[in-house]
Amino acid sequence: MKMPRGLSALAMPIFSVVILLIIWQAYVWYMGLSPFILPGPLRIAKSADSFGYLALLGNAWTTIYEILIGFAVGNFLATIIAYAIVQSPLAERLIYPFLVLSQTVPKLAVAPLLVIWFGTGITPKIIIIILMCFFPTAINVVQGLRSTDPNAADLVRLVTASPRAQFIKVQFPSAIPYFFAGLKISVTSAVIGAIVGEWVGAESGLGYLILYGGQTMRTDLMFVAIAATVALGLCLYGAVALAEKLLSWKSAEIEARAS
Amino acid sequence: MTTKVDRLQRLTELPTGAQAVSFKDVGLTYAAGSGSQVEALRNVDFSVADRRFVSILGPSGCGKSTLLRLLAGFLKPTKGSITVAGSDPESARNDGLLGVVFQTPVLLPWKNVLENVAFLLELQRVPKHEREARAKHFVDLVGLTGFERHMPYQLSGGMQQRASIARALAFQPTVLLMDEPFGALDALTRDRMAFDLLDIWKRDQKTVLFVTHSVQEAVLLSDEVIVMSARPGTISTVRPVEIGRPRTKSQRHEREFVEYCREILEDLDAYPD
Repeated sequence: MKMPRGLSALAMPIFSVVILLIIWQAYVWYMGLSPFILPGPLRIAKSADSFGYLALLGNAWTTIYEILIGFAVGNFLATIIAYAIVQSPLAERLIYPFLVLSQTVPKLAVAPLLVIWFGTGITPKIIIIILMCFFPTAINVVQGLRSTDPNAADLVRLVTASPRAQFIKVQFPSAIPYFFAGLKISVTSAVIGAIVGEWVGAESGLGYLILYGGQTMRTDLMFVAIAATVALGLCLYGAVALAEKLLSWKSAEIEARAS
Repeated sequence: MTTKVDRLQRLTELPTGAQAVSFKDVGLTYAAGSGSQVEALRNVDFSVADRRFVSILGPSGCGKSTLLRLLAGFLKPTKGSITVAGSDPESARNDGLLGVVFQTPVLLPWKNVLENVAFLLELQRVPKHEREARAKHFVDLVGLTGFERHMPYQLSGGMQQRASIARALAFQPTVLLMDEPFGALDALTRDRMAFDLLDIWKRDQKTVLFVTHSVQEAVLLSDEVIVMSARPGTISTVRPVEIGRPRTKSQRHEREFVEYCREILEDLDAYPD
């Protein structure tokens, strides 16, 4: 069977997901499970329909909004921090402990504190998302900015002594694949951050919906929200991967590290 | 500040056989921590006439590469003086008179072959169409015609090093420094590259300082071989190679060639490291 390359690459994962859904549905029917314990995919689809796609979309939008702001701010900060670390050893010694600290602090434990300080609005969620998603980008960009061949620096010095030229012509482009590698991890972390943030206190959002489903014993609604979260995560990851394809060059080294 | 053109004119006005490079009693000592000092080079004194091909040969750690770094003005001598094309190394470098080929190709992975060859011109802000036309000429010269749009990872090691040589030549330096440029290549490729370099040099004759570990390579390529010894790095002998050009593969088996190699090997052995 001959298919265009992109299509066959997509066909395989879709095929395996469909198989999984069929097995899941068959298991639920065969065991005669109550939808309260484990709803089948058909039941989940029906629940989504009865809950209303517009309401679902409204909740999803809250989460998307939080993620977009947190992700943008987090990665902007990450890039600046990475640049400072690479430029100055003093900045590195001052900032690095906080970088590691920010990762060892359990986000789920900090979330209630943030709610006490900032209320149940959007602010605590954005802060958690920033905390979750800036670290992978910062670490990768630091590595990327340091990945330049010292001989390439000498090469530039043959023409100009300007550190600006060094940065623009060699250091910055070298770091781009690392930046995107960090961004891919960062975007999935941002989704987790949003859900965690909403669990502690929210009036809408996919995380709120999962919690609400649990509190009202509506397992099917929980699954609807979880499915929507997964879909959202996939879309965001896909967007970053697409941006990478359009804007980055391929680094053999990073490809090897990722696989 | 004199421009590159001024300097080039001054250089061409010099009588033939003028010195492109000269080291006068150069020494380099650097601190190696805990108060101890390492003497990397001592009493280095030699000169290279314009448009000559000179190899620098010696054991590891004898300061061959350090010598090139001094010449490029990346390092400063602690004693003596260095002149490149009539000025000090740093201003020669700033005037774009120095080209460097490293042991590794140092191609930028996000640029294709043509862009890489034109990279130094890009840094000089030469307009795109002009720099690409110049780069194309040197891509052809090193035998990479047809590979202009290839990315570095699509090329073999030998082809990458050709691109790096083309980049150095497209910069049109007066003095070309080559730091073991074939050191990372396999033996067969290395052999072919040496002959190709002879061919390129014949068509675009520059003053070349060529650092190598290989006696055969040095004799094959050079007008003159400088033999160094280690600890501290210093010049032990300077041997002119008076074999006619163009040099060919078969010459390497002739008595004259073999004799040069033997003498240089003896020079190297006389100063064991």
